[in-house]
Amino acid sequence: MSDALNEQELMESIDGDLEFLEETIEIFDEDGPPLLEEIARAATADDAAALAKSAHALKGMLSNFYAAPAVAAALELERKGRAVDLANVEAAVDRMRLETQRVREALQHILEKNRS
Amino acid sequence: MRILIAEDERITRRTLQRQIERWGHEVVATEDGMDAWERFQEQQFDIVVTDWDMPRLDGRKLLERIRAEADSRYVYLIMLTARTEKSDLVAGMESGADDFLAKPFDRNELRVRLNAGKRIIELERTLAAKNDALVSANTRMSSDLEAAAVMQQDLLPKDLPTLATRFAWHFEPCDELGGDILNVMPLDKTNVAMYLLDVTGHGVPAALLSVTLHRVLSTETSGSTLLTTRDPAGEHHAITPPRGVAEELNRMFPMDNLTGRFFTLAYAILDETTGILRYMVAGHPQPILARPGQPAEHMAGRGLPIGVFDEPNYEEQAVQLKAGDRVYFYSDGIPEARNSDDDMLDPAGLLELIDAARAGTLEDDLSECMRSFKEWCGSVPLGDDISVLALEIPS
Repeated sequence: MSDALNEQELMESIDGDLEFLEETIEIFDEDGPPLLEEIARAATADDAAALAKSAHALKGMLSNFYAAPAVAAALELERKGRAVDLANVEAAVDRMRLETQRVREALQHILEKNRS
Repeated sequence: MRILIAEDERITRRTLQRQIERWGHEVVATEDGMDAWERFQEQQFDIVVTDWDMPRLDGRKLLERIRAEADSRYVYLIMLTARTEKSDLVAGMESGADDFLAKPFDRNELRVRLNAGKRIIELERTLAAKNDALVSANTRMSSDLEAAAVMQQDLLPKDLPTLATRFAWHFEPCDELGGDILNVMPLDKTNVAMYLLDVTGHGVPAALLSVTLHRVLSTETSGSTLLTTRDPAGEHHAITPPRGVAEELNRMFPMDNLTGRFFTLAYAILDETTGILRYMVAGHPQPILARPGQPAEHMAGRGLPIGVFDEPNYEEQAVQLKAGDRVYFYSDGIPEARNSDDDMLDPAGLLELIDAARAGTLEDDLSECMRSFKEWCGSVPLGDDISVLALEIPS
């Protein structure tokens, strides 16, 4: 089982409804990448306010999947943005990408496992 | 329950909507505060669940707008937020939130919070329905009282073009309806009857009896023989003297033992050709006589109220009136009135008020007298109905 998210809590929260999980994953696929791009852009452009805002939005989205590491990465970015302290922001953005990717893979794994 | 969701993040919005709909509620999901506000203005909702950070209109401003909306229906507001700082919670509460729910929301927590909201809403709706029923009943009663007051005012004397004697009156119930009533009625070509009566208490119960008495003391009521008795041919009639009228009323209206209600009466008959005024006073304040160039004075006569004793032994009085003489009948609401110093006007005080207003017409002087009376009362509201019936023998 992946540590990218808490599968048990996730499945309980949606009553094991795979159809609904698929629906939320579709939204995640649509809304997640643009947010990640906005985070990267804001970090590069030293746009602290935009960074905080987009990281906050991504954090909220990820929290629905009980994805603690990804939520922590988003929270770190949000705090950097709010504190207008963008030191080492590139590393935090990379971690964000990585954790988001791990969440997506974990979700795919859950779908495939339950379909088979 | 109808629940409005305001949440810009799509997955949270869909998850909330799905979960709440599974509990049987009707849900409208909106993507930001402005969208939610527009829906809120179009439709009625019981509960609003809103995110804090949203574009266009944030959750706090949405709550402030909803609370400022002048709608009597209470809406239960739940703030959905990842924020856990106490200052944020305080700000949310000040904006009108009833409760908070942390994101990601726990299903059971959401369920109990919605149930708490449902209890509050149902309680408020029950109270509102009871309040509406009370307002409706009060409106109906007020409307009925206003209509009844108009009807009672309509019983007061109308124009009396055939009478040589001048009359003026003042009638002022302390509630919508009064227990006082007065009237002037020609009995034949030379005799005119007048009365002023005061049923104990005031308001509706007193008014019901006063209106009944007005009918009984009317010459227009077919079959009434209380004031005049006609011979079988209907050509001649006998006028019942004031004492006879009082005795008959005493027989007809014994005091109601249940309510203890009775009335006082001043009844008089003026012969316009001779100027002789026959009158009797039953438990009523003594009438006042104001002759030209002389101070006003109380007239003779006292008697027991109507309906209290079986054998009241009423005594009839008579006075010869001359040109310019004025007579005032009035209810005890005037001499027993109190001012802001808790002083009573007293019968002597009324004599002074009458003497101070004798320069004009009877009607103008009575208006002035009542104006002075109100001035004397100051800010103290009337504690009883007040009425005056005045006559003047023309010069």
